[in-house]
Amino acid sequence: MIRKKAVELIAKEIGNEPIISANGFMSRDLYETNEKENNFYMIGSMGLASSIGLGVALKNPKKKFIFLTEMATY
Amino acid sequence: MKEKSQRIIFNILKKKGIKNFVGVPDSTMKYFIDEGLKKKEILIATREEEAIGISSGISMSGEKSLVFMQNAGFANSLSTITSLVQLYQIPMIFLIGWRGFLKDDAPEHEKIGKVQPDLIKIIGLESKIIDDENFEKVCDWAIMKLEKKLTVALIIKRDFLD
Repeated sequence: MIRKKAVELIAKEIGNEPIISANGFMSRDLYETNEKENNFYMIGSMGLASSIGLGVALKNPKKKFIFLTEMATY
Repeated sequence: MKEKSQRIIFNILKKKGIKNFVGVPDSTMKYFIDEGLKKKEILIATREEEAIGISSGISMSGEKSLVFMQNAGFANSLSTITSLVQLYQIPMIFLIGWRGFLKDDAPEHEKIGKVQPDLIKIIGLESKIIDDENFEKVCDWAIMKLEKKLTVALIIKRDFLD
């Protein structure tokens, strides 16, 4: 519950910038609280949100991206 | 595979629009990697999954990308390939060195080497063996698939012992 509220607040603050979110609850919470077309919800490939983020950032050096990652939650 | 073929393959793929070569080195394709390093167009990752993640980000940004790895690393990456690359249909080319192709290769490559063709088949990844004779045709095939937003694997047999 606390995480979901935090994701909602952070996403609101980020506004329209693209967000890449880690698998599991992070992506679900983001989808439920701040769905937008330029978000990328990674639902498998645990641990790779930061790598995908690196690839995207390398090719778009002038653009701002936000990566939401987390440790495993249960 | 011969040194000359490996260097030509790198340059063919580059010429055909692949701007990004990300992976974990494998000596089976050392001249391919060397050619890219010389041109400063190779990005080395610490794990194959990481390379696939980076390549996915590149591909999502609209550029053509290739991931190179050994088949030991391919086996590491099965879940990443199925749950990221295939699930989201992210186009890229895999270049995979096939250790364990020869019967008396190092013992750690024996098991995965034996099931390598089955592993590729079982996850539904289209692939072709690339060699000194067919590399031009196979490169064209891979690029054609990539332009159709598909993902394919090119396999280099480890045909020598060291």
